[in-house]
Amino acid sequence: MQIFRKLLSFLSPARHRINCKELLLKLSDFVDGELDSSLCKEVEKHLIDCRRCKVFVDTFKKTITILKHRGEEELPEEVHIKLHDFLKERCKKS
Amino acid sequence: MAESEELLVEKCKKGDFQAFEEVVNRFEKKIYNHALRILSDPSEAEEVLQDTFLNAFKNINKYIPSGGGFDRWLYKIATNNCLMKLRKKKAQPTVCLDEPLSMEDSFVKVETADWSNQPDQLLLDDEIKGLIDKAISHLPEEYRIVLLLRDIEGFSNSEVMEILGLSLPAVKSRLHRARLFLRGELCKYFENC
Repeated sequence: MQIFRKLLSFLSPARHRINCKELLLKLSDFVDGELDSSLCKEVEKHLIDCRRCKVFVDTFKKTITILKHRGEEELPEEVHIKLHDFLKERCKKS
Repeated sequence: MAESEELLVEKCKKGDFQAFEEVVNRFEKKIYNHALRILSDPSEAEEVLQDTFLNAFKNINKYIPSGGGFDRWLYKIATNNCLMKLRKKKAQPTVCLDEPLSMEDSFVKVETADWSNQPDQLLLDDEIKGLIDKAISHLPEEYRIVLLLRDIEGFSNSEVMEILGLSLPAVKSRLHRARLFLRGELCKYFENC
């Protein structure tokens, strides 16, 4: 019975210790919240022990934050006017 | 109260041009920015903007509402118009992201400087914006478009999959590599600061 329990715990995904390379491959899934919870916990555990990965993850997350806040250029007024004139002319023809 | 997009689209389907102009007003800035980021050329972005809304008007009856998907439908038209422009242009040099992910290239070799705790305001200044835009323009188009739709336009992986007609693993893989590349470019910048 004990051997059976040990075997079960060995096979359980929660026992899987993630390494730096696996973390690199799963990083987007991790930051997007798409990693299953047991693997997510393993990543969090790994980050407590591995400073290099912690910095990598933090800068990776920050990169995404910068992208999300990149903002938009204003639409030039003449582009807006030309677009509406173009559409008035072409759409009424069709 | 502003009319819902679905209601406006229904009016457009009945030939209401005023309703269509309202749709254009709501999306023109977003579509222009999307095209500009893909093409890096204001005059081509303007052409894509015009073509996209003309295509949308002509094909509005083909649009089937599916839970607020009008923006996805428009982005699909705009992205296809951008891709047609890119195919006509001479290929611009881009980075190669097709190699398997390697630890050596990524972070084992070098101790990474931690710039993640820089104030957000500093990270959003014009110099960083310029750097990000330049790095995005160096991405191969298939990576660039996925990154733009996902991280800048804010679509989900499944929505990007639908817009581009790609599999989910392809979307995730391209997104991940594009993000790694951009992170690497930001690291180079902060190492030299």
